[in-house]
This record gives sequence, C-alpha cells and structure tokens, in this order.
Amino acid sequence: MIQGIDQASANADANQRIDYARAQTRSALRLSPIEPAGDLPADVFPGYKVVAGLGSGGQGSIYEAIEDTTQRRVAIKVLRSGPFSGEAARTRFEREVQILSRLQHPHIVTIHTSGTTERQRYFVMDFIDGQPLDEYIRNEHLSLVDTLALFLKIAGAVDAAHLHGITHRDLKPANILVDARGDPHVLDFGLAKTSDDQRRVMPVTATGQFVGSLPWAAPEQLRDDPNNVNLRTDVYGLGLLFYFMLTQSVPYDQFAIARDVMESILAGDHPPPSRYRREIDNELDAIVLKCLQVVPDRRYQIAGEVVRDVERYLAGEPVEAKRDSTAYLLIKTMRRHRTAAVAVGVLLITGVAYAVTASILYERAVRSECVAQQRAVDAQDQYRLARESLEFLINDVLTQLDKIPGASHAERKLLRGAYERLMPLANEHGDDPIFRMDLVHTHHQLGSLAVKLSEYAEAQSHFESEMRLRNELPEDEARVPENISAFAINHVVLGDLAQRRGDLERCGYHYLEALDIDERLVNEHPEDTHFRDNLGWSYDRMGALALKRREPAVAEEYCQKRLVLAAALVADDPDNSARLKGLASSHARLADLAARERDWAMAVNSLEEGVATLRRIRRIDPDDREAMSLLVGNLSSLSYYRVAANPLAPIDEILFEAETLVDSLVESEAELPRSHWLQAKVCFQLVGVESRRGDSPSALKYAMKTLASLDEFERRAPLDEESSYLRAQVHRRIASVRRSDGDLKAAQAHLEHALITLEQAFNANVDSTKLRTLHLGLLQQPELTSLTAAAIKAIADRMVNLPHADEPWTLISAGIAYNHIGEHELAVQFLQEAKDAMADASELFPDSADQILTESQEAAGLR
Amino acid sequence: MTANYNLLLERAVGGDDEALSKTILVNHAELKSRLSGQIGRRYRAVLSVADVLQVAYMEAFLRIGRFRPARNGAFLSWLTRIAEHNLRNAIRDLNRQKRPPRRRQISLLRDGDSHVALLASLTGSQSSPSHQASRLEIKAAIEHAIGLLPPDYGRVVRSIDIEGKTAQQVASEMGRSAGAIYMIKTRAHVRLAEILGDSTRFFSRSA
Repeated sequence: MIQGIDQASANADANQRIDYARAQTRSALRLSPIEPAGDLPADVFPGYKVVAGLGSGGQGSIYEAIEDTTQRRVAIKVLRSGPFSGEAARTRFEREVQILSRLQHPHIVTIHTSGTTERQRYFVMDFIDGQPLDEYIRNEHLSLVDTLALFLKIAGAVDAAHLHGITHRDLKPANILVDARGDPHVLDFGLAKTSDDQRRVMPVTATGQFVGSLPWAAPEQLRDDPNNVNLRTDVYGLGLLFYFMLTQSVPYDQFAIARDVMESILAGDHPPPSRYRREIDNELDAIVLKCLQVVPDRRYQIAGEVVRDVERYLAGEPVEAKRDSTAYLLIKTMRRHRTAAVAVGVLLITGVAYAVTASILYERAVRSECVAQQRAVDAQDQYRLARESLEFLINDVLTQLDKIPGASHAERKLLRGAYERLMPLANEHGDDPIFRMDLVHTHHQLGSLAVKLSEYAEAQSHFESEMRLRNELPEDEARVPENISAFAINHVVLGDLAQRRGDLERCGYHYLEALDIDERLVNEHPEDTHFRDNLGWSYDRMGALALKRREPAVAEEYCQKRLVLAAALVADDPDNSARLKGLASSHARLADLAARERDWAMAVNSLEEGVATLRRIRRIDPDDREAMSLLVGNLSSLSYYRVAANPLAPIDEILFEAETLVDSLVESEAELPRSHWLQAKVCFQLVGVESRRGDSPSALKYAMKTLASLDEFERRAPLDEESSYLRAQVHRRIASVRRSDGDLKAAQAHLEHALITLEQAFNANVDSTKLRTLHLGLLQQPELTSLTAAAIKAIADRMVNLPHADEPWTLISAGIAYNHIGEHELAVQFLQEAKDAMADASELFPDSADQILTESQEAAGLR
Repeated sequence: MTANYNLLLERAVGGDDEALSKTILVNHAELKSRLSGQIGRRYRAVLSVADVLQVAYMEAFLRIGRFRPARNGAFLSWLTRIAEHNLRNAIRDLNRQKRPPRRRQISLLRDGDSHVALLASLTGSQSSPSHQASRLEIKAAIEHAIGLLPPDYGRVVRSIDIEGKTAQQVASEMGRSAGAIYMIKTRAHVRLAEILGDSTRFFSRSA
C-alpha cells in the first residue's frame, strides 16, 4: 500500500515536470527533423532548380540547386526578410557580391551570378561539399608537411584578396571549408572591407562569460581600434589558423571566461606551437609567433609574406621570421661574454673566410669542368681542395669554437654554412676512383653535419649514399685498412640513426657488422690504437643496445670488455681526454647496469670511478664543457645511487660540486636546453638535501631555482614527460615543506600547481604511466587537510569536465579523489565507469583502484 | 521494449506531444535514478536532480525532432546524455562563480552593447553574421529570437545577458536554484545560436 502511494507520488511529480516542460515549449521554436527547404517553388531562381534547403539563419538562407544548362550543383544565398533585413544587411549582401565577383582564385568560393526575384536578392556560387577546417584537421590527422601545404593554400587565397586590397576580417575555421580532395575554400566575405569604417563588437556577455566557439579576434579588434583593422589583422587571423592547424589548439585557455581570453590575446604571451607538437622546430614557431605579434607593425605586413616564409621553410632556406632573433642572439651572446667575444669574432672570421674560399674553389672547379674537359684532373684537384678546406673548417675551426663559452649559436651558423656549401659537391659524378673516394668523404661529412644540426632524415640519406659508394669501391681501395675501418664507422652511424627512430633490429645489424670489422682489424693490427678505440666504442654500443633489449647478461659482458679495453688505452696515453671520456663512459654504463639490477653498492663503485676519471679531464682541460656536462650528470646519478645504497649516505658535497659546475655551464651556454635541464635536476636533489636537514628556507630557495631552470628549459625545448614530472614533483615537495611550516594555504596552492602541471601535460598529449602514477599519488596525499581536500575536489570536478574526461585514467584519478574526500557515490560512478571501459579495451584495471572502488561501494552502502 | 512503446516513441518523434509526455514518464524513474548519484554534496544546496530533470524535459520537447531511434533504449540514453550534459555545464558554471576576481579587468562593455555582445558571443566571434548591422537591428533580431525561446529561457537570458543580473539574483527572483539558472542559461544560449544561425556553416552538408 505504502509502495503504491510512493509510486503515485513519484508519477505525480514526474507528470508535473513534464506538463511544465510541455507548457514552456508550446510557444517556443522547436527544431524540426530536417532543414527547411523553404516553401520556394523549385524554379524561383531563373535557370536553376532548387533541390534542397541547406540552412537558414537570421541573415538569410542557402539552397542547393542544379543549374539547368550545365547540371552542376550550386549554392544560392538569399537575403530574406526578417530580423536582419534592414538597409545595412542589404548593403552587406551587395558588398559580398561585389567582392566575390572581383576575386577569382581556386581557393576562394566563386560567385557565378546574382539577381533578384519578386521579393528577394540572391547570388549563386560554388556548392562546396566539405567540412569546416576545424573538423577536417581533427578528423584527418595530417602530417606536418601536409598541414603546411594546406595552410599555404589558405594563406594564398587570403593573399589573393589582399592583392585586391580586400581584408577578410573574419578568418576562422568555420569560414574555411575543405572539400573531399583536401582543397580549402575561403568563404563568407560578408564582413570583408576595402576600407575601414566599422567598429568592432566584443565577444563577451554582460557577465563576462565566454559562450559558444572561440574568439578569433586580433588585439586591435578587441581594443576598439578600427583604424588598425587592416591587412595585418588577417595576418593575425592566419597566425591563429596556422597555430590551430599545427596543434589542434589555440594559444590561450579555451575554457577560460571571455575576459581572461581577451587578456591573453592582448598580452600576446603565447606558448610556441612546438610546446604541443614535438616535430615543430623553432623556425616554424618563429613564423607562427611573428603572425601573432600584438603590435601589427611587428607582424608580416601582408599574407603573401607569410606564404613566402613558409615556402622558404619548406625549401630549407633561412626564414624571415628568424632574422631578427638571430641577430638578437648573436648580439646577446657577444654582450654576455665580453671576454670571449674577441676570440669568437676571430674564429667567425676565420670560419667564414674558409667557407668563402671553399665556395670560390668549388665554383672554379665547376667552371673548369665545363670549359675544358681535358682539364678534368685540375678540376678534381680543386674539388678536393674545396672539400678539404671545408673539412678544415668542420674539424679544426669548429672544434676550437666548441671550447668557447657562448659560441654555440655561431657554431651552428657555421655548420649550416658548411652544410650548404658541401651539398653541391655531393651532387657531382665521376668515374675516377680518387674522385669517388672524395665523394664518399663528402657524404660522410654531410651526414655528420646533418646529425649535429639534428636533421636526421638528411643524415640517413648521406650515410646511405656513403655506404653505397663504399660498396662500389674497387677491390684494392676497399682492402685498405683505413677504408675498412671507415666502413665500420659508416655502419655505426647508420645503427645510431636506426636506434634513434626505435628500429632496434636494424640498429643491431649495423652494430654487429661494425663490431665484426673492428675485432678483425684489432686482431690484424693490435698495435693500432685507432682501431682499438673503435672497437671500444663498438663494445659500448653493443652493451647499450643489449640494455635496451633487456638482456642484462649480454650487456654486462660487452660493458666489461669495453672497460678493460678503455683502461688499457688510457694506460697507453694517460692525458688523452677523448680516451678518458671513453673510460668514464664505460664506468657509467656499468653503474647503470648495476642500478637496473638494484645492486646499489656496485653502481656507486662504478660511478665513483667514472667521476674520478672526469675530474681528471677537468684538471687537464678546464674548458672542456663536454666533460663538465658529463661530470654534472654523473654526480647527480651518483647521489641517487648513494642514497639508494644507504639512506643516510652524505651527498651534500657532490651535489654542491654539481651545482657549481652546472651554474657555470648555464652561464656560458644559456641557449642550450640540456644545461638548464641538468641545473633543474641538481637543484631538485638539493631541495631534498635541505629538507632532510630541516632547513626550509634553503629547500625553498632550491625549489624556486628548480622551477626557474625548468622555465628556461621549456622555453627552449618542447614539453616532455621528464620536465612535466619534475615540475609536478617540485611543487609537491614545496607543498610538503610549506605544510610542515604550517602554511597550509601555500601548500594547497602548490598541490594545485602540481596537478595543473600534469593536466597541461595530459592536454598536450604528454602522457605516461609515470605521470599517471604521480597524479594518483598527488590525489592521495596523506597529509591533506580539509583545505587541500576542497582544492582537490575543485580539480576533480574540473577534470571530469575536460575534453578527455572519459579516458579511463582520468576517471580513475577523479574517482580516487572523490573517494578520498568522502564523495563515495561519485567515486563509485567514475571508478566503475573506468573499470568497464578498461574491461572493454582488455586493459588491466589497477588493483589499487579496484580496492578503492570496493571501499567506496561499502562506504556508499552499495555492497 | 514493447511494440506499444516503440509506437509511442515513433509518434513522439513525429511531433505528438502527448506521446512524448508518456514516453518521458515511462523513463522518468530510471533517469532520476541515474542522476541521483551524480550531484556531489557540495552542490546539493544549489542544484537538485529535479532541476536537472526539468531542463532535460524542456530540451526533450524542443529537440525531439532531431532524435533518431536507432536501437532499443536509445531514447533513455539520449535523455540521459542531455541531462548529464546540462549537469556538467551547471557544475562548471558554479565552479567558475567561485573563482576569485581577477586583478585586472578590461572594461569592454559600453551602454547599449548588451545585445551586440550577446550576439557576438553566441556566434563565437567579434565578427558575427551581423557584425555590421546597426545596434537597433541587432537588438530587434535578438528580441525576436528571445521571443522564440521557452518563457523561462527567455527570462533568464534577458535578466543575465541583457540586464546584467547575477545568476543568484535571477534564481531568487524566479524561485529556482542557482544551478537551475546556469543550466537554463546554457541551454538558452545554444538555442539562441541555433535560431540566429551561423551563415558560415550554410555551405556544408555536415553543418
């Protein structure tokens, strides 16, 4: 009976709500199942038969129609009566007709005709059966090159408008349709202008909250600055489109309220696109960011300039966008290192002089060949002279330059110059054996230069050419021991490149070939230290590869062989820094191997040997920055191993030594990301040291220094797993220090920063079990107070509203957070959803999460 | 599901309000149960399951023309998605409301800009289809579109977006919770954007 009453009451409640909804919507406009084709007769537009309505809005309607004479599909835009049908709307409509009539471009929608029916103005244009740019980009997952090609077409269309003096002023993904062939079509010139007389409106509601899609406004449009809304406004729009196409993101927080978005646009402090996509290099960053400059004068001045710079980029030529920054960097470097500046200048002049000489000699060589075949021998001699001049530049000038603090930018410029000047030499052909040998050397140098310039595909191509030519060498040439050894080196570099791209099988093949050759050469020429050096590096590479393949016994065998050989080589030549580095590297490799086996005592012993060896190099050559950098890395690892072997082991001294060294590295090479990364790592370890000592102010000082180093690192390198992890860990550590000092508010803020860091990483598709584990750890902080619990709740609420909220790990993190703060029903909901999703995908639901699910179910009375 | 239910659903999709009322009633208990665990303790004072259901039912009447009954249980899933979407939006807005004020504020609004700003925000750009329309034209268009909304939707939009009241003020005036006002405002904005249209999507069949 009671149940019956409850049911009746529930039904009454439901009926009341349904009736209310029905009454509320009775007079409202309801969405019809199909778009209205209108009540137009099919032949209302002379020469066209209307077949469907495509859509309608306050401004007008669009119909799909067939042209009677050609049977082609067209779209007919009609200005109709209604709320927007005033004089201004008619003027806009007419202007769009005029502008489209003037623009004939394959990537701008074409107008065919316009006319007037009894009551309506209309125009006929291309029917584009495609998807808006944003959907296309999200659906197609274009490669970088394809993205650039698509962007060039769009920018080319905008440039065509600019050349007619027309500013589009409303560039956004919805205004660009991409057809089935992948061709873009720029639409909607209804707002385009040839002169400016219109004021802007703001994309904000009275409450300041942003609604709908993103604003694609330029700063001058937001500033109510109509005099500055011109072609450069479109350049900004192109920059935003380019950013979106490259990253599927916009350079500000799209979930923020409108005023925050506007602040970001006006501040112009946008993260480079490379932050979101690793393949993007700093030149492409520079092009996009030049478009997005807040001050219009600092942007490209017209779309055509953007097109040309992207084309330069694709052709591998220096881009205009980097011109300012290169000069800036050079001046900055010179200013920072006044004492070294003179030396850098001298070397630069020397380097450039050699490059110019080589270039002139090369030109003479070509001319000689063309003019007089009989002087081919002379030409080849000059060719060799040119190559040797460049090799001198590469081997001697650059080696010296490498030792000068602050010269890495200059070094890179010279490398690039050398590469460009060597390239034409590689394209020469000749049957003369000596000339062919020259070509082999040229390809090897080009490959090595490309590696230094991080252009690995180019490097692969040159090293493969080198191998092909080596295989074709005449037998007597091929038998020369130096050439055999060079053949092994050729295998080694190809193996290195295979390893870089994750092809361990191919890498193993090349390394084994090299090892076989090197062992044979050492057996045949035991006195030759060069061959023994090479054999040592082959052992080292085989050991590292075995570690990657999870074959520790094999790895240890090679590492031991390498150590014995390296020690013998050092004994023969105790002050040779290259051999000392080889010895240090073999100690480090053995330490790494021991650490993986959790043999901490062995790891400590090996690394202490390595550290001692590197300190010896420092004594021999205090300017050797490579040794300095290796020493910092070894000291950092040694402190980890020491604590792992004995939690009470003293590590302060070695970390302070590492700090001094790394500070000096950063001072001398501020533009190298690795220096900042090492500094961040060392400082973070010092946070732990000072915390354990109970010196909170010092711990916080190092924590702040870590964050500053990470900022510098991330300014120069794309966001990655390790830097995100370290940043979140620093905030977690600061929170812990603050909490122990009783400053709960600061602790809460840093916990939030840690979580936000991880969220940013996840949003940028940087994700890993390591990051997820840290995420869970953060959400389960045992010291949480009600204050931090509230913060976690807020973050969990926000997390489940993020775009990837249905991703199982996100659901697990949210579920654990809700459980932790007593929201058991929500915890059950999210954890169960994650469990189901993972079961569907045959993934393992973590035991710890399962346990929390059970706890939540019990707490919520669901078990 | 029985043949009768399917017939009822078919009539509902065809525009029969009575049939839609009955279809919603059949699913009411299950939907309520699905939603009951989803509102955290923190929000219960400002948002109830009844609020979520009320807005979901209004949306059901407005959008039933777009529903496609693809499989058994599709209607309940559709209704659940609408309700959960509303709930998430409301929680998002309630969270934002708790943010501290920004240190710097940009004064962008001038007298009489409310209609223009609303239109611009709905179409997602400073250069909406009516960018160059006069303010009077825009005002007339917005008022016309608001007139096509359910009365509650129209009142919320007018109060918040045109008159600049806070959600709490409107909630108090209408005797509803703040969460309900946020939900209604979000739905009303979506509806307004649909009514006003976006000329940029006319060319695409997928629009």
